[in-house]
Amino acid sequence: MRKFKDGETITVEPWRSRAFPVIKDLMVDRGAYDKIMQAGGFVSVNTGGVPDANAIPIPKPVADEAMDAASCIGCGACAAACKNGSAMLFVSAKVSQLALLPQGKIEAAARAKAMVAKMDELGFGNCTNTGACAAECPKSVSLANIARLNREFLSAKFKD
Amino acid sequence: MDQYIDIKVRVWRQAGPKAQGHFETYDLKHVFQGASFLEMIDILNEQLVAEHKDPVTYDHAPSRPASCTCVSSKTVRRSL
Repeated sequence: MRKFKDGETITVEPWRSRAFPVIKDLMVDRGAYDKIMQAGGFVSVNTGGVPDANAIPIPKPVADEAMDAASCIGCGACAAACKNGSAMLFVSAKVSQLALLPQGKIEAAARAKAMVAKMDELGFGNCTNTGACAAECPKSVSLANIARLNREFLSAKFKD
Repeated sequence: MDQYIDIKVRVWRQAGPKAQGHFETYDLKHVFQGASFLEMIDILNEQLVAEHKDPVTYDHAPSRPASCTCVSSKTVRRSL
């Protein structure tokens, strides 16, 4: 509350996005993000024992980039801040964190297509690179992830 | 140096998904500046409950432990 001065009026409203319907007062249903994750935000691997450390060598800069993308907590601020109601920053972070790593590359093409298709189906808008999402993101997820998602999506479409 | 401030909180009230929403303004007195934004909402809710009014529903599950601002709502404007 240190940012506020005596006598100030603070206006608080719920996330405004067609895909986030208001449940009550300030609470919205962010289930749309869960549905996007179910569409492709995973890797299919055999379960078993814990793999040996460094069994799959990954360069440190790549691991750092994947970790930065994985810092997305799916809060919905990106879609709410976007004038188009686009969830591209969220989807791109989820696609990036997996597409950058060897374990996620196998399903990368299918993942990008499925998650973008689900995002469109749920009523999120399209990205016009205004950058409002990255400015509002509490985890500082970078716009570079959107560029990576576009690249992944395009290369997946060329493979069709 | 943290002080106590008097503020007005203009909050979106909506009874349910299909209900018509509207803004309501509440006076909040003697709010400690060292409190977090979510604690301020708690103080508002305590005041509303004491007045036998419906408290403001908000979603804080992912945010409170991390003390970040990513509740499912946002502060859109501040004015004196």
